[in-house]
This record gives sequence, structure tokens and C-alpha cells, in this order.
Amino acid sequence: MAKHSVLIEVSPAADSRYGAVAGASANAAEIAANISGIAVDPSFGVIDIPATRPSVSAVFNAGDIDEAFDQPTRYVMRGDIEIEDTERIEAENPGVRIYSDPEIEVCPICPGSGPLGNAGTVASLLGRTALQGAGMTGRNVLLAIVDTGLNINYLRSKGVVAPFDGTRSWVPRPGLTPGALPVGHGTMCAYDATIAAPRATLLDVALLLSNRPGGTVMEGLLSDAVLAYRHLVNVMRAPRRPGELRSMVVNNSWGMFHKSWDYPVGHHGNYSHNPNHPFNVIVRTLAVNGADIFFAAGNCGRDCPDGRCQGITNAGITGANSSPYVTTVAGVDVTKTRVGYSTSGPGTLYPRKPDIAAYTHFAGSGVYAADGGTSAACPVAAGVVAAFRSRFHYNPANPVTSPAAVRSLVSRLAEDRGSVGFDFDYGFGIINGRRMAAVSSLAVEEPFQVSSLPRAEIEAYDNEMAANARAYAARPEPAESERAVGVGA
Amino acid sequence: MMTIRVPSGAPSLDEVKQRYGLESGEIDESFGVVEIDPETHSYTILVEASAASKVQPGGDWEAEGPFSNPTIEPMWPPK
Repeated sequence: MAKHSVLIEVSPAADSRYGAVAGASANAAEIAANISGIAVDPSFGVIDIPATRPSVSAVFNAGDIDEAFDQPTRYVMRGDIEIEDTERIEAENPGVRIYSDPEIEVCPICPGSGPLGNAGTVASLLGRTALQGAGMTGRNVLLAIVDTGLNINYLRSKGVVAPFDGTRSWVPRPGLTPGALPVGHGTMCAYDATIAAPRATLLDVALLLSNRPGGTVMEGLLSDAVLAYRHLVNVMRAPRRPGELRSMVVNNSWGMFHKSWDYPVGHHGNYSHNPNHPFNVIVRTLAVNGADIFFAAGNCGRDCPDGRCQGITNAGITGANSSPYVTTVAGVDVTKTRVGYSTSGPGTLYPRKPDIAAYTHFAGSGVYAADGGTSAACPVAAGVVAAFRSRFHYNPANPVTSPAAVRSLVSRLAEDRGSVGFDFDYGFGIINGRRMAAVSSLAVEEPFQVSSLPRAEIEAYDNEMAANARAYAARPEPAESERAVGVGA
Repeated sequence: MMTIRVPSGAPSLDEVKQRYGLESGEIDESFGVVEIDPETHSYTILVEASAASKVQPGGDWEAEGPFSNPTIEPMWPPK
């Protein structure tokens, strides 16, 4: 039978056998010798709990006033027992009580927790000053917020000065004006992205304002995302002036919460695990055209998942949120501790997910009590890369400026947390703007010769992903009985 | 969603409707024919589930699907 850690309390006054136990000189080994079935931990020692004067109410409520004052010094030790022996030990040893000694952890930040830190805290942690000192402000970088829409007036009222490009923005239906949409999730994301990239050019891609049948005010269908991404591909492929470089960072703080919304895994029409799904295909196309794409890891973490996860916390990161062509972002609070709702990997399209972590659950935009969820972590990270891109623009002629190369760089420069190296909670660690700024200073003379970005590795990665797609297409279809699940319209 | 591959290049909506015998109410015309991968000449169309079976490979046109079209939502605030 398994041993369990317990706390052992001894009250000497209750049994003359323990009279030898005297304050700090008490010997745990001697106690253990007298109690069979307990293995005392000598490293813990003996902690004395002094007799305490009872409170006035205890005195007056006690049946016997003398008993109320009769609280002798007690001694506490730590040991291991078999739980089944608890009653026997207490019965055979008057004055001995056994208490559980459960493992404890620092309570993680959960959805209902108050904010921790503020946007200034996050800016400091990200190294915004260092980024700006290196000329990394996001200037001339497009920062597309694919979300519920932006409200530029609100952002201006919060001190956001980032330029806004309405002509290259996108809305899912006529009658919606980019940049003048209701204040909500998208506005929060834009605010958080500009913490590190105050001069990036915001694009409003109001994907989640669908009017398709079945939609509600703040949701959409994945087919809308196909259209939105097609628009972004067009922006990246639009004619350029000679020598013009174009960089775009794309933030996605949304996803599909539960597998019941999808065809089952193995079905040819599945989204969550299927590289051949049209949206997963066009995500790759946008990345190949030079966009740095960020997706939130999700809020189905094991400690306190969003209710929409329906209690499923071990499904990993699914769909495009786990694409090998995107940077998947987990959430940490400003103490650099994973928030309890941040979904852990692996990913279903690419296992080594999330890639990195970034800060969330702080007082920021004012849209909500806390800018929270991996929803906020994602744009915080996207903003750092938008800032970086203002010095290292994407150049189609130079592979070391590709999104894959920058993702590799960001991962290598992340501040390791959790297990040493990569782990499924923090990925490669917390994004670190100071280190990215330092790369800039090292590379000023040869801005596109960052030696740590290996072309061969990137090509091998692409080949591996193509093989994954072929393998999925060759999988046997699931049994007919597994297909009877709800699927979006 | 259905994916079609057309080596000769982007087909028009009318070409797609004619090719698969789709009526106007069976294909989402506002969605159109969306190029998703220029390398493989892949396009996506949005059709009614009842009409998906009409979209079959034939000639040099390949067809794949139907693919799920799940609801997507912002991840914050929690529900």
C-alpha cells in the first residue's frame, strides 16, 4: 500500500509516555520508536505549538472553565503512514492525532481572479524601452487584429497612438465600418498589441461579427475566417514599389472551444486535426506569403478552464491554433507563472505547442476588469514581433526573414520557464523583448544576416509538414457511428 | 466547405455552378470561389450540406469535402 505524508500532533499531557518530549529538544526519532506504523521525517524536526490563552468567548462558551484553559503545548512532526493505519495509531496512542499533509501549490490565476499588474508592468517586463531604443516600435508594420472589430476612438481615449488603416481592413458584411465597431474583445486585443508596438499600423479584420445563420453577436463561422485570410493574402501580395518591404503580423485570439463542434478525428472533413482543412491550408498560404501569424493557445487549462471547454482539459491545442505555421501563445501572469486556464500542449496539427508564453490578466484596456485569457497574451506577443519587424522586415528574397525564421528566433530568445527547455505549459518560455532588441544591435551592420536562423532546418520543417498532410489524407475514415456529432453550419 | 483543385486556374462562380449542376440556393454566392493555395490551385466553395454530394471529382477537376464549418468565438471573457 502507498505511504502518505501526514502531520503527527502529540499532546504530552494526554499521555505520560510523551513526557520526555520537551520543546525544542524533542527527538522525533524517539517518538517514532514509540509509535508503530509511522516513519517520521527527521528533516522536519519537531515543531512546538505553545499553549494559547483561549479567547473570552471560548472561556464563556466552554462547559468547564478549567477545561477551556487546559490547552497544553503540542508538538508536530511530519511522517509517512499508510492511511488505513490512522485509526489504529490514534486509538493505541492517546494524545496522538494524525492530520493530512496535502501537496500545495500557489493558487494560479483563474478567470474570476482580479487583475495582476497593469499595462505599464507588462511594458516593463517586455522590455519596451529597449525595443524602442533599438528602433523597434512597429513603424511601417501592419498589425492585423482578426477579431470582433476595433473602436479607434476608444483606443485613442486610452492613449493608443498607433495609426489605423481602414482601407486595408475587412468586415464580413456591408454596413460595418472598420475601426468604428463596438468596444469589445477586438479592441482589447488591439490595445494589448500596441503595448510593445505603439507605432504599428492597425488593421481591423472583424471576423467575429458574422451575420451568417446560426451566428450570434460575437461569434463567426470558420468559413468567414477563410474569407478574412484571403483578404490578408491579397494585402500581402498586392503590388509593391521597387524596394518596398512589407511586414504583417496577424493576431488571432479566438478558436473552436469543443470538439463537438467538429467532425470526428480521422474524418476527411475534420478541422481540429486535419492539415487539409481549407482554413488550415489558407493559414499556411498566408504564412508562406510572409505574415507572422499568432494564435492564442486557448483557455481550457487544467486548473480552471472556461465553461465552454465542457470540462475537457486534455485535448491539447487544436486546429489552426496548433498550426506549424503559426506562433501559439500560452498565458502567464506578471509573476511569470502560468495562468490556470491556459491550455497546455501538445498541439494536434503540430505537437510542440505552445511555442511561447506571454503576459496576461493585467489591468490594461479597461474593456474588461482584466485583459485576460490567452486572448490577451497573444496580442502582447504579437506586438513584440511587430516591433521587431520594424527593423527586420519580411523580404521574400531572403529566407532568413521568413515567418518560420522569426518564430525560431523568438523561441530561442524566450525566457525559459517550467521544465528546462521546451514544455507543454510554457513552450520555449516567455517572449523577451530585451533579447530581441539586443539581436538588433548585434545585427545592425548586416541586418539580414542573423546567423542563428538555419535555412536547412526551416526546409526540413516544411517537408515534415507536407508529409503530415499527406499522412492525414491517407488515414482510414472513422466508423460511421463516430460521425454522428454536431457540426457547425 | 468544399475544396476543389482546378489546374487551369481560378474558375468563375458560374463555371463552378455549371460544372457541378449547383442551383443558386445551393452555393453561397457571396462567399464565392476563394483561392486557398495557389501552389496547388486549390479553391474553396461553400455549399449546402444537401448539395455537397454534387461536388464530385471529374476530368482534371479534383474535389474534396465536405469540411466542417464550426462556430468560432473570442476566448475572453470566460463563460
